[in-house]
Amino acid sequence: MKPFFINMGLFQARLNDYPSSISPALNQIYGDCQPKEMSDFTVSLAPGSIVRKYLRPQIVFESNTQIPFKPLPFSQAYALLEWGLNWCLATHDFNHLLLHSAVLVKNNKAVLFPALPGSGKSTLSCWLAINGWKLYSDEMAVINTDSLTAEPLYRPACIKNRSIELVRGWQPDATITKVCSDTAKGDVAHAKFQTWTEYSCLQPVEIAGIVFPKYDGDLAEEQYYTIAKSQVFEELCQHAFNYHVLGYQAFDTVWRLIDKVKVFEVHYSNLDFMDEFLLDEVVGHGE
Amino acid sequence: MANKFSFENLVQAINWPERLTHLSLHEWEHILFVLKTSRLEAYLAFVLRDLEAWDSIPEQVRAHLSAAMVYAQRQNDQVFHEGQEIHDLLVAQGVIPVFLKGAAYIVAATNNAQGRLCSDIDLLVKEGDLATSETTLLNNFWYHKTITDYDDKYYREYAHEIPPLYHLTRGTVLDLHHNLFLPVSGKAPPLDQFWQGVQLQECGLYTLEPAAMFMHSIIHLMLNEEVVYGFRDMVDLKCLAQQYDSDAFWQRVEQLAAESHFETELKVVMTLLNTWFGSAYPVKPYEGRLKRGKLQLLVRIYKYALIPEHPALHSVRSGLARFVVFVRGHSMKMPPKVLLKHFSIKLWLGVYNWLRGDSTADAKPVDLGAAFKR
Repeated sequence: MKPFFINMGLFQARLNDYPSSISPALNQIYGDCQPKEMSDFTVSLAPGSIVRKYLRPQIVFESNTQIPFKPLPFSQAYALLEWGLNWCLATHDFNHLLLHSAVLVKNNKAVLFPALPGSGKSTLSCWLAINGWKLYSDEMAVINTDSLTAEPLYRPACIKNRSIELVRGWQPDATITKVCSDTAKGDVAHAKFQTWTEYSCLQPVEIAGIVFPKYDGDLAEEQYYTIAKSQVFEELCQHAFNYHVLGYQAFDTVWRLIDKVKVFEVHYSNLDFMDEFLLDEVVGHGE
Repeated sequence: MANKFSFENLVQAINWPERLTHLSLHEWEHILFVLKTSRLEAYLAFVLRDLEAWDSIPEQVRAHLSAAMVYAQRQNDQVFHEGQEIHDLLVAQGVIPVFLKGAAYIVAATNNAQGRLCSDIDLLVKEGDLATSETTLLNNFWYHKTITDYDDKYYREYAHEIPPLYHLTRGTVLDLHHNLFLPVSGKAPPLDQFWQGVQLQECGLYTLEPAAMFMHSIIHLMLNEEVVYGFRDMVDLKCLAQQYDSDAFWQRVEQLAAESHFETELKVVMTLLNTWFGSAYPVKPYEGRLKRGKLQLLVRIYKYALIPEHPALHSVRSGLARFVVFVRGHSMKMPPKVLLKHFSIKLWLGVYNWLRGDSTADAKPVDLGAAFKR
């Protein structure tokens, strides 16, 4: 089988073995990327065992002889691949600070959205990506520990349940993979909002703000708060994938970052408000 | 090095790291994957960093090596931190805690310390101090995970260590030993000589003397039924041998080997060190034909068994050799009667749990948050 090269920009994975059922999704998301000579990760998706190839088929993610997760039902293969790639990055890149956070960019300024699952982070990412923002990353903020800039990744956004229909409604021709049903997170699909050519033009950008979004559909009026720096510090440390490995460097990076950016917690029900708010308060309206 | 990566390429990388700068990116990719699996990436990264050649290594490769160094350095720091805490706790009770293997290399700052990863901290105390040590640790944030009654009995009655201890908040794993090999085997070495040479290192923690560290590493490598990181262990031994190479050192090693009856194991390792790393340590051949034949056979088996378990290096020979090592390791550990009992119980428990549907795998369910915090 010919390997499929997944160039995520900063990193490349060589996918050696995979079921043909994920080919459409692979081509949708990474079909246009330009492979590099050297891959940083070697990964494969294979049936759990010969028995499990036929009986309630399962799929196993493997990376360079390591199997980090339990097998999943065969139909969730593509979602497992994306999660596996997250794992690869988080357990191998100790040159950057990695935060569990979305990164959106406008007017050459980045906003981080660190958030817990269920806070509407990915839905917000997609909406902003459709409305003139650049999606640098949906899942993982890659932060340069010297310059404190955010690096772009060529990865899709992971959308769940009702959001899938929302995104389709906002952009009927959006590139969205086939839905994987009944995963640990419910129904899951992956969506991308830029081509490889567009991605190639992105540069690392300065981080202007950190916004903790909380979606609440019943909210009568939008509310936003500033947060004490010590609390933000604690939150960010908890959201960092590799804080424990980077040690002092992570401490220093998080601290310098908080010291220079604006931080808000925003409770919103209206996405237009969020766009306006970010332009007014965080990244500015540009020239 | 063409597309095909071989074990010889790996050995050459250890012997002549400066030559790696001539590799193409494609060749680097192969060697990095194998180095990661063999747990030698950080070791080589530190070696390369100190060479002039570092700057001529492609940036993409340097990123991997740098990340590996960050990770290893973090573990290194952690060993000192945990080590100091454990040392203080036990010394206050009049116990002398001696760090072994990976932790010992780091504590003693031997030539293989930089980039040496260790999955747990190994500690040796005198058998008479075992109960005090365990109680002290249990009273200070260390705990045992629940294990089956049989496993507990196995550790307590047969083994040279107690069930692993885990740190409540940091998750560090601590193996507390009272011997260097299983007493039930009848092959546990008398420890007087090993204790005699215990050294207080500059950092204030205890380790065995270099010759005893070297000998213990051999015992651990050659008597275990698993040799997953066996090649890394050989690199450890290579570094120690080079660093301490002197008549006094080798005399002491031979004395310890003779007293603990692990002379054959020493000969096997020395032969392989000479073969792979181009050293010329004298290995006295055995007189008798039978013994000579046994030694040759063991050398052949370990030559293949110690090849890292990576698909790029896989061969039927190394698979077979590892199976022989597996069987030999078990037969060394326990007398046949005990071994038969041990296997029967393990098999029965395995079948029982399988039927019950409780085949707990090592892998975790997909949970992004938790899975990343390895």
